[in-house]
Amino acid sequence: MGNDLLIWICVAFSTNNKLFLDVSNNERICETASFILLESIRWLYLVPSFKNLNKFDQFRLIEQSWSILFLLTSAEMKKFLLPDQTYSFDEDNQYPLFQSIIKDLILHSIDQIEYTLMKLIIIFNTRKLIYLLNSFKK
Amino acid sequence: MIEKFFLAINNELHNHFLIDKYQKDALLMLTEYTKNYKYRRLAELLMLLSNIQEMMSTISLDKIFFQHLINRISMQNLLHSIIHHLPTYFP
Repeated sequence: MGNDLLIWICVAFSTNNKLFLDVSNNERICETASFILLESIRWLYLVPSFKNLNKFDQFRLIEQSWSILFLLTSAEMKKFLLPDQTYSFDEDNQYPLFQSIIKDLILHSIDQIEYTLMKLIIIFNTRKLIYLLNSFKK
Repeated sequence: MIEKFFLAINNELHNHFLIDKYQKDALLMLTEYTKNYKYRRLAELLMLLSNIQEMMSTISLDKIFFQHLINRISMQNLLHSIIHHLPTYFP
């Protein structure tokens, strides 16, 4: 079952930039999400410091930070920005909040190097960033 | 190796020292990179990240984007599956 899902995600990955017109909005968002998730993790494996860790620690780090990594990659690739997108999977109406965070990130004009370093801080930081920020201020 | 994932009972990371080191390295690199801005840009980005971390704790991305998959496989197993098969699809 895991294999089937992964193939589905990989198909979404490979077709992301040539979506068909008759694909529903939900499918389009799901395909983009799969693309972003896979791309986020693929990028991570290009980082030597991450690759050098043992498999267990790699998994733990991904498990605890995948959502913010997903968000940063989405903002970096300027995805999920289309206005007036209704999304039926979003039962708790959290999608607009997610979109607003991406827009906020884009407003800060973050360049590629800064995105890379921010993603590394998120990945390798095992505590809340507010503590990191406070220790930096001291 | 795969069994290691599932046999681990506690959530402690094995290489805490290494992970702290990498995190400090990244922070140092970000500091160096933004030296011309002094520390303003660094503080701005760290504050932004901190705020995002707070906001993201209220958002369930797995439920928003991967609900259709989670009905069949847990998010944890989905991530594990991606990690396990990544070299096959993207060598």
